[in-house]
Amino acid sequence: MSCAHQNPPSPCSVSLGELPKGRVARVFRLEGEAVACQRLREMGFCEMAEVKVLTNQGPVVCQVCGSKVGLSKEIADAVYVEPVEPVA
Amino acid sequence: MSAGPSPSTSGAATTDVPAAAKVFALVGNPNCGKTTIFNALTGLRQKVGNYPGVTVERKEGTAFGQHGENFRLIDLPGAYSLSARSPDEAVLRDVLLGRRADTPKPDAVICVVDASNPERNLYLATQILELGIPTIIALNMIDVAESRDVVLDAKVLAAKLDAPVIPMQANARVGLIELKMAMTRDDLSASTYRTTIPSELEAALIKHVPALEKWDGETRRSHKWEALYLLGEHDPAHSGLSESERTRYRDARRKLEEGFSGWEETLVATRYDSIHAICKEAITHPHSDQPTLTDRLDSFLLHRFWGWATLLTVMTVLFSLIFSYADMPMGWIESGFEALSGWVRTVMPPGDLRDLITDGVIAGVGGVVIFLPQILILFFFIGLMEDTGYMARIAFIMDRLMSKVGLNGKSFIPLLSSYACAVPGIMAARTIESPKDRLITILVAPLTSCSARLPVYLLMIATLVPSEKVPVLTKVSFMLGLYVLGTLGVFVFAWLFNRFLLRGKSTPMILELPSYKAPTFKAILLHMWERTRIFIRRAGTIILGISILLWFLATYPKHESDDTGTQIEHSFAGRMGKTIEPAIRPLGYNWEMGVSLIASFAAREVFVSAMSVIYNVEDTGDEDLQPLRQRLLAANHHDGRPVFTPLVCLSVMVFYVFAMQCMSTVAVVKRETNSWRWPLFQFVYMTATAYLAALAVYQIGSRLGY
Repeated sequence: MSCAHQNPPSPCSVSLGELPKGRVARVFRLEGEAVACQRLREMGFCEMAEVKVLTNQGPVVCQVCGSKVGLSKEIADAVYVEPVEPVA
Repeated sequence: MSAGPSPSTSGAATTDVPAAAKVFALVGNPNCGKTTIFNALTGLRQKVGNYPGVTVERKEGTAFGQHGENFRLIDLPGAYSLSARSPDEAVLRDVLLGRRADTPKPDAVICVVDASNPERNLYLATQILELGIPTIIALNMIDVAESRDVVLDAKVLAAKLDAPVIPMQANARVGLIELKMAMTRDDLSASTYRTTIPSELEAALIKHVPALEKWDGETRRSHKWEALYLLGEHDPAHSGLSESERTRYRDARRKLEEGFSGWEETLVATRYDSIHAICKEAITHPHSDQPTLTDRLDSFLLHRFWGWATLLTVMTVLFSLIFSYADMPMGWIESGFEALSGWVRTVMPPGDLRDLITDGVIAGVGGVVIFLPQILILFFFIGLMEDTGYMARIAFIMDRLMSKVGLNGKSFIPLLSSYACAVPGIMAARTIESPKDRLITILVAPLTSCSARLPVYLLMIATLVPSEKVPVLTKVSFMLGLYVLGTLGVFVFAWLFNRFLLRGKSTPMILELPSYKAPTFKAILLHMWERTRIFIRRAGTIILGISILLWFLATYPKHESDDTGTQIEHSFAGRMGKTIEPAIRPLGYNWEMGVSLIASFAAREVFVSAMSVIYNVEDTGDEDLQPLRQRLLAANHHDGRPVFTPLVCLSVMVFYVFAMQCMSTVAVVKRETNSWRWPLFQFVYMTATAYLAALAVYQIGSRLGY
């Protein structure tokens, strides 16, 4: 079961797994299994939420909704985001 | 529903509460300081048990209100949402909705909210407020929030949520009196807070949910939230619904999806929207982007290189503490039990009853208690790592490695614990959410070389390589080789089970990394005490029973001879040893070793004492293996060939690396998996592997001329 949000694909959306350390982005679309998506949303990764990548060495650590969450590479790749800051 | 104490909980009579006491449930996100509040409210008046039918820990205690009133306090599992994803979360949902027959529906709820992370914590809190149970919000870790310049207005929050909000710093007992005062209040009423659901979605829900409600009317499940949370249930295993009910919910779910695509995500988004609106008014965040202490620590502890180096160092320290510093107290315990045996021998006349007490009861219980120092050190470290927040980092670092064989990061601690003893290791597997990962972890955990194997390894290595001839390094490398072999077994079998036995996707890691904090030693000691008590009770009772049985098997039927060796040969145990001799001869073993193998089914280290009895050696304790070693080296087959050739020693060691040979583990696996199926499967696969591996060692070795 997929839980792809209705948002149309955006040209500037990338997966969270591709974002370098320190970047801030807005969650745009979640893909993958419905259970995992729902858990992500409840942990704060709902659409439009702001996420900051703290480390990205395969598995990703990011700051979302006031807390730190570690994601495996697999799941970070299923979170599509739109960077909100220009590339430094 | 009964308000009396549940039969599943156990504990001292001092924790009894009058049935009329008001029942409070303590709920909150993981890492919000819920346990600290529970400890502060109940002190040592706690009892720990299990929810029947599931391996979810049940904690209950007695709290006193500000005027000395009795309250029953149930500590429910930490969760992020009432939509259950794991057995723990299902218990939380079911207790709050009054769906569990073994637990009364709480009269009121204390919902703990981490003040340093209010948005995410309020997600669960608002779900709870909507249930219609009077709720107190404990705004904990207010000090952490202040240190980050987060300012929370408790009054505004209370008004918005329509519930009392108590700012707290539970580890310093700040706000405890105010919390107790709120618990005592007579006018504590249910909150009127409701998340505004978009009308289109509400219409769709009303269209489909009332059907469920009407259908449920006959049963006690009539609450609309229950229908909603069960609707979001993805895993039928913990919904507690019958097959026909499940079909009903699936149908409703399908219709709802057709009628309102994305209803689940809309519900989450709507809830977060109203939470953001509340937080905007009640909370001011600083706009600084300064890295916190946790951020700075994490940049080191989660570092690609330094993270691993730190983990390796921590593990080395833990292991050296377990294997070297536990020696001294273990010696004390051993001599204590020997002294007790000696004392019994002096006060009781010789006879079977005296032997039963000294060789059966005291030796059996002593055999378990001796591991206590190691287990205490282990539990102290696990408690310390959990309390400081480092444990989540270990799970994060290990996830990549563990997921390669179908496990996850959280399998690491159970497996690590199993190097000391598989029993606490398997108990620690409860923190793994995915049922598949948990089961695989439990199935492979006893393959790690636990400390009960050490006496067997030591005896066999001493027989294999007499110390006077070879350097110490050879012995060490043998020992290391056995540990490596066991560890390889863990990974190979985990991979095999994941590939062929329990298909299905592993849960990908979504892991909260809580802020680091200074450990509270009282909580760690309390945790150690709880774990240890459970260990002694579970392992101790079984070992005691088996020791008595083994003593009986080795003592009866009586033989005229005074010689212990001859007596054993004619006993039931001796006959069993001879019966299995044809099966173990290809491994190079004789019937005497067969007896020891059977005896050590209870616990591996029994092998050594059984060998001492059979080869008629005065038991001099584990420290000095010399007399037994010499007897073993001198033992010959009937045709004069030596029994303990190097190849036989190797074959025995390899057998013990893989064999299950532990009653306590069988019992704990039965308990944790709730069936005999898995412990039996585990016993069969491990014994078969042990047999085949030992066979291969002996047969191939013999062919090669060793």
